[in-house]
Amino acid sequence: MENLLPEAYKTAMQREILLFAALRDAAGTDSLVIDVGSDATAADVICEVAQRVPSMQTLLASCRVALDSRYVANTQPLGTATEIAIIPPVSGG
Amino acid sequence: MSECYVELTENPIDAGALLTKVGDPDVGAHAWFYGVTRRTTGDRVTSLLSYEAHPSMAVAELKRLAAEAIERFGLNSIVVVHRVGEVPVGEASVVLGCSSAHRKSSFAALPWLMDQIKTDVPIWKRETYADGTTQWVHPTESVVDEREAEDDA
Repeated sequence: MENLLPEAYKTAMQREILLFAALRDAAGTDSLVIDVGSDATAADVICEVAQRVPSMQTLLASCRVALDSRYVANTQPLGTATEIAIIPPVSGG
Repeated sequence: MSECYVELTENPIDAGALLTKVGDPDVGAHAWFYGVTRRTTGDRVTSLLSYEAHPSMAVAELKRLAAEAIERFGLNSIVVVHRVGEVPVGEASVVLGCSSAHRKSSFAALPWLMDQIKTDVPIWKRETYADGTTQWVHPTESVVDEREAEDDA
C-alpha cells in the first residue's frame, strides 16, 4: 500500500506560514500550519492557503512569498527556510 | 563615507531629531519628504489609519532600498522612518531624508525611494472610515494606477 502513495505524500511535512493584514483577518490567525511535500515551492504554499481560506483566493493571486524575509519566485522550493511568510500587496507610506 | 538610518516606530516621528542624521559639512543639499495621513480619499472620509508591518523584513527591505538609493543617486546620507500602529489624520506616517553634494541627487532620490517603499516594503495600512467601517489597503496594479492618478491630481 505504501508504495502506491505519491512521492510527495511519503515525505509530507508541516510548515508554519505567517499571515498579515487582510489575509490574517480572514484566516482569524496570524499563522497557519500546512502539510506540503518536501519539494514544495512558494506557489504550493499559496495554493494550500487558498484552500484553507477560500474567501482570500483573489487576494492570494496577488500575494508574494518571502522565505527568511526575502521575496522569492513562485517556483522557489521552500528548502530549509526557517520562516515562510505570505506578503499581500503592500500599502506603506 | 555614507550614512544610512532606518527605523520602524510606534511613536510620533520627531522629524527635528532626524536633522542631525543627514548633517555633513561636505553636503550642499538636504531634501525631506513627509508622508502624512490624509482625511479624504475620493468621497470617503478617513478618521484613522493604522499601519502593520512584518517588522524584521520591513527593516531589511528598507535597509536594502536605502543602500541602493545611496549607490544609485550618489547620496551622502539617508534616513527612513516609518510609523506603525495607529496614526491620526494629519500626522506623518513616513519621513524620508537625504543629503548630497548637489541638490539634483537628493531631489531625484526621494520619489524613487517612495515608489520602491510602496512596491516592496511589507507594511500595510488599514483605513477606519468616519462611518466606523474598516478596510485593509491591498493595491492591485489597476488600483495602484487609480491611486497614483488621484495623488497626482
